[in-house]
Amino acid sequence: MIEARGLVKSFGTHPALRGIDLDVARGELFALIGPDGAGKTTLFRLVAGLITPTKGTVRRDPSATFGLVPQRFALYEDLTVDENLDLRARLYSVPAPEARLRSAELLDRVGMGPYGRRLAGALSGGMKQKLALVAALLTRPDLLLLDEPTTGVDPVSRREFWQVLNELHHGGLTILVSTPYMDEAEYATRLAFLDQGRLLAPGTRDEILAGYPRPLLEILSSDRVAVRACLSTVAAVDDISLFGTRLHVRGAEGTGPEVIDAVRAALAGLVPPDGVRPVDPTLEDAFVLAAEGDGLVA
Amino acid sequence: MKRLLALTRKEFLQLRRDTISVRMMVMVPIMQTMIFGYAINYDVKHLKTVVYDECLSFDSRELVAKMTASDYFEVVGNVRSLAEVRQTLDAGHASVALVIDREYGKARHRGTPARALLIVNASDTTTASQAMSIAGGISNQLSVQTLAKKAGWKEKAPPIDLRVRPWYNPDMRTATFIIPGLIAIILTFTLIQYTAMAIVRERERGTLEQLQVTPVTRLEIILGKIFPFVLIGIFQLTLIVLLMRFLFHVPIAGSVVQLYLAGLIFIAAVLGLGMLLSTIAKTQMQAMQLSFLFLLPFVFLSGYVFPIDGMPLFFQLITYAIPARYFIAIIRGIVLRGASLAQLWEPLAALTGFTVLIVALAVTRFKKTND
Repeated sequence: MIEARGLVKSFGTHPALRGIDLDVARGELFALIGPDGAGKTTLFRLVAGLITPTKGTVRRDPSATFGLVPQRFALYEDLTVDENLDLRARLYSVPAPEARLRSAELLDRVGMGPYGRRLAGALSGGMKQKLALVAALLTRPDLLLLDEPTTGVDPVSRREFWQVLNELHHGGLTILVSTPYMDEAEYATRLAFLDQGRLLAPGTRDEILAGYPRPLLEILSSDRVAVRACLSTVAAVDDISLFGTRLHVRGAEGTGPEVIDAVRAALAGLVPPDGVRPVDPTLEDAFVLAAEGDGLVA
Repeated sequence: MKRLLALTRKEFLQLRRDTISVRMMVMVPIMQTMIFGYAINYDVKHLKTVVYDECLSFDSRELVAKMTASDYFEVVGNVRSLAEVRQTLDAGHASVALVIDREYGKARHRGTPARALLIVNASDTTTASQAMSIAGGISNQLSVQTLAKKAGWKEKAPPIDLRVRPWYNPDMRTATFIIPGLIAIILTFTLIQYTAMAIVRERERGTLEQLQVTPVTRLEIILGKIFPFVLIGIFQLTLIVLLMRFLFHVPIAGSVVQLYLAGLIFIAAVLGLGMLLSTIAKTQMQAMQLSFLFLLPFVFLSGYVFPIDGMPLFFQLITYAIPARYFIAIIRGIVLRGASLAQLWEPLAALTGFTVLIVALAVTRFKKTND
């Protein structure tokens, strides 16, 4: 459905994307995960054809229609919900009776049935995003492009929004969605990290986690400063990061499960042996490692 | 076409909610027509005049009476010394002083030059030159009468009978001259700004980009944005024409259809300029400021208030680059002189040329504004 090869986009001298290869197949729910400024929006604008690549190519299935939900709310705030949807239908030449039926059905589905006559500018952040989604779906696209649809949206609305996306995905819609939130990747069939204009480790969640090449330990301790200090001299450990109330300790390149012994020894007297245990990597661990440039086998 | 209609409909829906803008679109033309039509008057009457009559005779009073009878001078005081004259002018209590020589009356009877002095406050050149020409006229008239009597001239007309006929504005009303040109100024004032701001607003809010991913073509986006403003332009044009005709009683000597035709071409030029601005300005604030940049030369270098012939060569050359110059020439031709567009082909060709150029440039620039 989408195929990008060696995609480069620079704004002036600033490279926003530095050579991206991306394939999104029909029926996939593909999540792009990356921090602010990673190049997510640029990638979406390229895929939507709003800007042209500096180098490389990006193709959409020519027979596929698409809808774009941009990161910033881009419907008319001084028009009502109904007027916005009516305009969208007219621009796509959707017959009026069909458009009305479909608008009502979609609004109901996202729980916005009673808000048809409200000005779009007077909606909450979450409802604005739902309206943008409804507007994109109104024209029955084959492909849905969603650029950070849940950024700045409250957790409840976020969950609802993803439930709708999930339903759409199961209904056969191809979806490319970006998000800064790791937890949202749970819903995706495949995902990839986007960091500083590079695409890292595309694959399914399981592939990415199974391909994590390092040993990983979890340490339960109230004195995290002391733990960090003790471990800073252990050569077999090359990263300590805070995960909620725990610390994740990563083994250096080439180390194996035996790292746990070195760590337990180093922390003797500070943390009891059962306070140090092996743990499965999370997507965040995988992202941190990938972003460091170690490269991952997906 | 359906999509274009949908976009136009959207603009009017938005406009309906923006009541302040709607009121501005109606009030600005009315206010400006009132201000320019009533307040601007080159024909200054009742100039405050102070008289220092050293002669105090029948003849000197005759001179004063002639001056005040012209309606251009109004005596606000009599003084008894040159120092007082100076003081009155310095204080701004009068802008003209008439000093009549002590020997004025005697000289008249002797048949030698009778002297009087007219001092005008020439810091305002328009007022001063008018006072000077009126006073000169009165002096000439008295002189001719005196000489005619002496020479035994029996004819009613003077020896040289040059009659002056003020065509096209027989009452010499400033409003008649000013208001037709005002059409150009008001359209410029409102439309450049509205168009530029409307497009920049859509770009700022991301709605323009959203439109670009719909099946709407670039041309439809441009037309959809501009078409409502064409209608607004025509509405404003009609408003001013009605005020001009029925409030200020300026007769339209030429064809109203041709007036609208030229008006449409000018509206297109102004909208093109607005669109051009929108490709330069990043924010609505910048769009507004940039539109003022255009306004000043359009008002002052278009021949609207100040005659182009009176400008230094450098500025005369600049006026050729100002579309309002040609439009004003056309409207004055149609409204005041009853000229046809065929007779006005030169400014019409120039205006059309400029319009095509501006619109082409605006459309080209508008098309590549995403990166």
